[in-house]
Amino acid sequence: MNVRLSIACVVLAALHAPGLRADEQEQYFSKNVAPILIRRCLECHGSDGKGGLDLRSSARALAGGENGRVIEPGKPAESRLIEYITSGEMPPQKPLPREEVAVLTAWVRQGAWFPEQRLDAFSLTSAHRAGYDWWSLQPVRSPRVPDVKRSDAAPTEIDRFLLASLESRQLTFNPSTDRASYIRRLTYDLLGLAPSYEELQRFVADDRADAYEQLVDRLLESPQYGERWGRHWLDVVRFAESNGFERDRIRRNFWPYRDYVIRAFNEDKPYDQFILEQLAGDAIEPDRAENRIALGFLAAGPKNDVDTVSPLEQMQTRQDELDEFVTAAGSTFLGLTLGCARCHDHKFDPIPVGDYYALTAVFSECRHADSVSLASPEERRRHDDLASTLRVRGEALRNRQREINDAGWLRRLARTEAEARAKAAGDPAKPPALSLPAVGVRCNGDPFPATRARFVRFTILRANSGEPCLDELEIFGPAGKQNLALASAGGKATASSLLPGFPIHQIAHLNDGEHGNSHSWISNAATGWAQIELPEEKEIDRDVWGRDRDGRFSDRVPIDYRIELSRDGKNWTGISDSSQRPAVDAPDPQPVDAQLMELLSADERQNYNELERQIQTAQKELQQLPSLPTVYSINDGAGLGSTPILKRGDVRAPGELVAAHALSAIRGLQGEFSAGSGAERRLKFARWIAHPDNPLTSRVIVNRIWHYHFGQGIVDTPSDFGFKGSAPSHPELLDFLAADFVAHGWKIKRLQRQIVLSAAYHQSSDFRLEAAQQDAGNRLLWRYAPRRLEAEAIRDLMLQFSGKLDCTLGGPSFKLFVYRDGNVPDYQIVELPGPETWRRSVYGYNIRTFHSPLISTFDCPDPSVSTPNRTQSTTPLQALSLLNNPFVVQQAGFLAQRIQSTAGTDLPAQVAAAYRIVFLRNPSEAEQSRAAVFVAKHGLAGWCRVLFNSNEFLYVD
Amino acid sequence: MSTEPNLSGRCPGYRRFVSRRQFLETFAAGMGTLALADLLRGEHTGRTVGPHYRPTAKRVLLLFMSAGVSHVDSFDYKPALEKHAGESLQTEGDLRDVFFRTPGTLMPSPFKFRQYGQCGRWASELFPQMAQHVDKLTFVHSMVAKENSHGPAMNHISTGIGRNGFPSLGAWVTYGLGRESENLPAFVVLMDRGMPPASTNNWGAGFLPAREQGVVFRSEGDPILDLAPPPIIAADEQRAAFEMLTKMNEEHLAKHPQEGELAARIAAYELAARMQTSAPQVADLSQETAATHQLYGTERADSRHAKFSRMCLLARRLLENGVRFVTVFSGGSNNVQDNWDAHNDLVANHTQNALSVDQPIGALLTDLAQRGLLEDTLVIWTGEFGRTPTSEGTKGRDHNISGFTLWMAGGGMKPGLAYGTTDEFGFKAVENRLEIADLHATILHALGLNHERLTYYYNGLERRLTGVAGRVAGDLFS
Repeated sequence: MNVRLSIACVVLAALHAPGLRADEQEQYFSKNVAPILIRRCLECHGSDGKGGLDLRSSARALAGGENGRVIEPGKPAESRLIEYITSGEMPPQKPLPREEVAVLTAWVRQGAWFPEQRLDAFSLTSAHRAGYDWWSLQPVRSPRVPDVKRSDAAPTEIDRFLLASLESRQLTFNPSTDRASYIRRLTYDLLGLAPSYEELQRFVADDRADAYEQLVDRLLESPQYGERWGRHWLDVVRFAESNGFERDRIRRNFWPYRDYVIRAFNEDKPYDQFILEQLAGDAIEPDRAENRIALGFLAAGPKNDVDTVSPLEQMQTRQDELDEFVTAAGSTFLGLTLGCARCHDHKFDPIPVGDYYALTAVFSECRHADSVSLASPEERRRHDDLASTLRVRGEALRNRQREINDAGWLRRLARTEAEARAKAAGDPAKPPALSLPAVGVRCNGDPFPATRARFVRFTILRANSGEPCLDELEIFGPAGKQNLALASAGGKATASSLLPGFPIHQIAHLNDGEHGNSHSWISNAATGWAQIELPEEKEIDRDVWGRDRDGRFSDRVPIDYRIELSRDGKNWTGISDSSQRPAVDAPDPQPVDAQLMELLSADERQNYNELERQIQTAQKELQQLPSLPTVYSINDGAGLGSTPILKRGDVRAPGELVAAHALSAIRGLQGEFSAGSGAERRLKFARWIAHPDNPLTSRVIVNRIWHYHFGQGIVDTPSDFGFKGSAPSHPELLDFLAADFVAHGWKIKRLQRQIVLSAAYHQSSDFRLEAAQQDAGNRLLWRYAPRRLEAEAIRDLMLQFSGKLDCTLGGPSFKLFVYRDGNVPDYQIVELPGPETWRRSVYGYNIRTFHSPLISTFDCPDPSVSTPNRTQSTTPLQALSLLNNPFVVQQAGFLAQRIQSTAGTDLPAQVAAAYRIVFLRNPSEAEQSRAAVFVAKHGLAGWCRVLFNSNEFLYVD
Repeated sequence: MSTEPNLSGRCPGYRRFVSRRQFLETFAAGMGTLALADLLRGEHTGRTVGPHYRPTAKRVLLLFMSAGVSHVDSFDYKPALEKHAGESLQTEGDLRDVFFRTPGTLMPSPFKFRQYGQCGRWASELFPQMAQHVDKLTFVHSMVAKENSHGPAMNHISTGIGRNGFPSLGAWVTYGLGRESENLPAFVVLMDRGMPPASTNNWGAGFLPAREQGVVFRSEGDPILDLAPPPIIAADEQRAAFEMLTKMNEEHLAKHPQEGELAARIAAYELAARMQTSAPQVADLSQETAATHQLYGTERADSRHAKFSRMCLLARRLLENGVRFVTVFSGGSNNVQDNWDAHNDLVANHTQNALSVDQPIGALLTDLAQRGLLEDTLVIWTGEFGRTPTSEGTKGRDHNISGFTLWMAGGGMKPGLAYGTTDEFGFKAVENRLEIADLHATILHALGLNHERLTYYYNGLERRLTGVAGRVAGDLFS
């Protein structure tokens, strides 16, 4: 029925009906009035409330705006709203059609009835924005496969959809291309490589009825398939192996995610499973390493690792991180630009700002993690046990060695003392003359005349650096070898102060009998004293002290000190000081040297050396213990499943709390995600995305796959199915594919098989003027559009042709640069990388601030942002790269060697071999002779370089 | 405004455009190769998009002082710092949010200031040569940045956004205006000490086509990476290779006469061959007179200072030869602390850096003016932010995003103008605050480009360099 006519009828009816029943008013409003208000008025007079006017509810609408009331119920003539729309002043520049003016006038006359529920500006699509009725948000319904006139030209369902729309414009498909072109096209498309000439010939000669199906199946089963199609996915998920931002530090352990993606494609992992693993693998099966790797999807974005003390910046950085998670999930799986709703309701799609924050709440505790362990709990336990056994063994050995060591030091001290005393002989009242060695790091002794005392105080006036440290303060008498200061012998240690906060540094460590830095005292000032109180007065004649008996630390050594004795703890007498030693700035490191070893008995020595050997062995085993594998991924916690809405996206302006929930735009599929841990929230979110009834998920993925096969999608903006995206060229085909995809287990290879076996995919690339005049952009697919090789394929094919391609699957990424770590690491280009890089380009490091010139020149995207659709440019720099880049020249040389090894020195044979390898055909006679002249003059390698630069190599048709 | 050409780069639209051209070629087939060549030149040189309105500048020279010059020690004279030396800075808001580290106390400039020129502009002893030109310069003292650490801040000023992966100013400009020279890249980058903070993102093409990315001219060897073949390839072989390729590609094209891209690639090889000759020529400074070398200081004793001099001279030669956008970086990455990042010792750092750039930049201003190039070349001198009026440690200054100074010259800017001010200490911009988006809008405006109409579709939006912000500072124009 004619819409205008029907509106007019309703209006007439309304005008003549003196009073409407409530249900009639509701019906009239929702059918006639609401669409006008929503489409024409709410853009400005909704939540934005321009001029103070909000037309979403009765109370607000009747209250009017800044300039007073605009609606007088029952009196359209006095209502300024009616005045404005009648005069055409509102909406600005887009006056309402007369029928709509009539509807609103009638509505006001009837009393301007409003429903109780506020009008939702998103409920209908307008000229400015999409509403809930937007095409991509509607449920996927499998449409009827259309009939076509030339059914012989449309053997598959896909073809019938396409041909039907071609036929409606009196067009049809191009005829099928020949088998040679098809196998080249298909091999490039599925593997990113070329068939060999022999493969091509076998296929051309294959007379089996299912030769095409056989070929397609063989290629889909090739491991190189995942390398090609995984790369497409990596484009979309902004996969990069560095942090970006200030430092752009490298991620050495992120490659497992790349391998996971490649494996997923090769194994034809159901797409719904693929989604669940990447968003919530840890929630499905926490102990499965693969699932922790899959979470790399979330961590693939940049990570700001600059520490800042500013709380504002910290909050901002965190909010950016959350935004990254949400926008990546939105654009990758849903084809929605969720990030636009961070500061305000989405301007073009029905995504209120609250929905955006509801999704950030899903990730509220989700954070990047440098090294998530891939080991199972059992593996981890075994590893930790082994390591701790080795550490304990090493420590025990070290202790036994230390005992022998101590004996040696004491003997050495005894000897120096004896020497000193001998020199001072004769005057027992005087301290021994200046003959002590310089202060040492490990162990020092101060002999003094035998004196009765109960208190010994060691006062430090200066250390070589920092606050002074003693690992032990020992006291001896003339008779004994027994350390009288030991706590176990009743000694009591006190000190001027203690450096706080370190359990390994304690006052009690001064006389605990344990040596080394881990059992020491440190003063809390540059000077200080340590004191021993003996249980009773005794005759004593020397002390022994050190900084670190193990010799590992040589800072904090007391170098200026004095020793005082007291009987009552009040009156002190100086008995010795550092002036007896040569003054030094740096203490003697006191290595364990031959001199010390001499003081040991033969048994002790042998024992010592044996222990040393065992310690070394234990240490070596510990070092060689293989470290458990880790991956760059994410960590999550419990956290709250809700978050405040930030006004205007400003972290300083938190507003109303929202709980994690599904996007309201998808009316038929709602969900709450807020309960449970972070992993559980993500799992709920992932299940909502991967739900068969989610209208976006299946449409978006089948469109992506289609896009890569034909060079453009049915929707030409593969990550944007919203208002600003492009309209589908074949909406019914898209739905057919999406429904079929879900119905058959979300299998990507099955979909691809359907596509590449269709007549549409088989057609030639020939240009037809009459078709181009109607559809220059080939949106209707009247031909197969020829394509330039993508950057990676150019490089990979050169390696393949030269015979140097290393087909090893997976593993750590290769570098085309030298990485120098530092506060801000840098990446230096390597002009001619070595054979370890002769692998498929997908295995090269993807660094945000380093782009290989050869590849980036050919539009390999910047991994910092998601690239759903690569640009394709033609520039002189590409020509220079391909002609002069040392890698190209080198590979041309290898190709020449390869040809010479089979074709020998015969020039025509060489030329023919080169044509067969690179162009997959034989040269014509003219080509052959022309090439032979070139080869004779400039060499075969030069000729190979020319081939690598030719359009016939670079374009696939 | 409806007569303005549509600059939208939305992919489907672009494809339509290419296809129209393919179309034209089909009809032009009878007109012979000359017509075809003309069409191709349209694609690769002028392109069909042009300025939105009459520009005041045709090209841009961006002199970038990496890691931040101190404005209070160069061109934003603050005598109050003397009076209040040693006092702590009283200002609104949380200082921790403003500073990278804990702020010290107000520190007067250790450099002497005096007035220069007709306009009486204050300048410090750091830049005696630049100061001679103050009457030509347009100062903006009220710049405001957003990002507090170098990488994001460089990204912000270079691309309008703190993160990596977005098109740079130079890429937007060449996307909007196309190239002027057939023989040289449209956007060239020169560096004196290796990669600046944020590295290649400063001249990246982001989601714009790869052809818009800046090309680094190197100071050693061939000026452009892969410009010349490795030595094992003789000159006659290279010539023969070019000829052979043209022949083969033309034969291939003859079989697919309607494929515009195939023809475009043939043209690209012609351009490459020309670039191979012209780039080394333009980079060959020996063609300049001894007096010019003297002026720029290319023979200065300090080899790094001399290098910056040679870069400035090269910049002039590039601009003269039709390069649309040249960026010259003074200072390398933050790893080596070899840039303007004077956290530890302001005097040592800025004295050396200023010595390096002052004479050659002064020379550039003289030289460009003498050659009549300054009129339609917009010169911009800036860092990614300024430095605090307070001390860091005892002798350094920290990052300051709340206010800093840049100057512009030529390209329609009002000479001798000082726009905007900071507070009495030079901490915060208080009058005529100019944000980076405003700066970008203003630069594009000078080039005849409306920042709101220079858009490219990417991931859901018609993207702009200025995002949803940007205000042209009309007062800056004469």
